[in-house]
Amino acid sequence: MSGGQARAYELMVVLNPGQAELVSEVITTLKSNIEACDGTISRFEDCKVRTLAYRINKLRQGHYFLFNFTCNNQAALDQLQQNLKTNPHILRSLLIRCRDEISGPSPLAEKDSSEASA
Amino acid sequence: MPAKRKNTRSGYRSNRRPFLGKNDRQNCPLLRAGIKHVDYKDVALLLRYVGEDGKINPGRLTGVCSLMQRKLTLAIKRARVLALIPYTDQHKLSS
Repeated sequence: MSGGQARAYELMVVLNPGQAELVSEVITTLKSNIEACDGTISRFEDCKVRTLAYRINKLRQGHYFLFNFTCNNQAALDQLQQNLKTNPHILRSLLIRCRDEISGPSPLAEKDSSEASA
Repeated sequence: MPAKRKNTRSGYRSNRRPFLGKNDRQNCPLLRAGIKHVDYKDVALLLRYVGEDGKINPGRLTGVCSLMQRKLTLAIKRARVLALIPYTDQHKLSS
């Protein structure tokens, strides 16, 4: 991609909720990876610990995080994808292109807030 | 003089426009609800279009139009990867 408008991406990761210090470490690494993409993070959401629909690595719960960011640098994005694959603390990840930059709360966060107010 | 046609299901005639089938966009429950983009994070919505066994319900049963069915299918498959919804009812949840 040469010049042009920055593309919007969405990244969701599921982490092992067992080790809190490792979770924060992975998140800071991911954030630095995203910033290396010459991008800006428009939304970062901690979707809390949720019960997984099926067991992954014998775990029944996962800590979900959501990033929305813009990126101009394809090489840095490839590096981010490689890191997502090789990091053993990331159970699942999904990196997709978005049509627009999103900043509002996600359905997962909305559900959390409605549960808290109820 | 031709015999009068019976007003049965097979011989019914009317001036209404022909029925376009359940995939008609006007009848699509998602479009009627004002949903244009199906979000893979909206678990409650996705579970409405998934059977008890975790399989995606066909549009001809749910009335979802073909455009939205394609979006719904993609969202369900993304949600499955992230373990937000199950692939099947055969997952072993207990150790």
